[in-house]
Amino acid sequence: MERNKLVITIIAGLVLMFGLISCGTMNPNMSASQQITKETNDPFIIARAAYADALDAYITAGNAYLPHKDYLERSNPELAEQILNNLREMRRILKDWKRFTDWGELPPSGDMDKFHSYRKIILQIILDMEDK
Amino acid sequence: MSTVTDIAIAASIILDIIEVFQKKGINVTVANLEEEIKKREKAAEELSEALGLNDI
Repeated sequence: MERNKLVITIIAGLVLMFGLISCGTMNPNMSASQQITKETNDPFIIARAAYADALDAYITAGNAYLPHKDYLERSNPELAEQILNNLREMRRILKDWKRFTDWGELPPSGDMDKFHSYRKIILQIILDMEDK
Repeated sequence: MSTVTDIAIAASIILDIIEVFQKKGINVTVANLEEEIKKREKAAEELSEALGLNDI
């Protein structure tokens, strides 16, 4: 019985050590660009990381809307269409964004601003809906 | 016996916490950047399909 206790204590200790090491080496709250700029200042790679962040932003906005889509299409079709139009625009900008980063460049700043505005609008509408 | 059970439960909880952190915390490095972009592009495409946005 004592031996069992010892073995389990050792296993628990190893699991805890592994956990602390794993968590310590991760960057759960950092964007891809933030992580990449710690490693390199190559503008081509940083532009690709910014594109990864833009994809994350689109996925976040789309996933936030998805559970409400059916309800909103029935209850407020105009608002549903507005959100879908914003998501369409985000998607269109993303496609350009990909092309630009393939050349090692960023898309025009106006497009990036619009992209983030669409994301903010969508998330705000969803927050307002959830508050009601 | 209760100590053994407690330790086993604690180890199980720690494993769960590690799993959550591993799912949430994605390390993006220069080495895996393109792979991470591909994963995101695939997720974005699937999401667009679910939203009915695959018309552009």
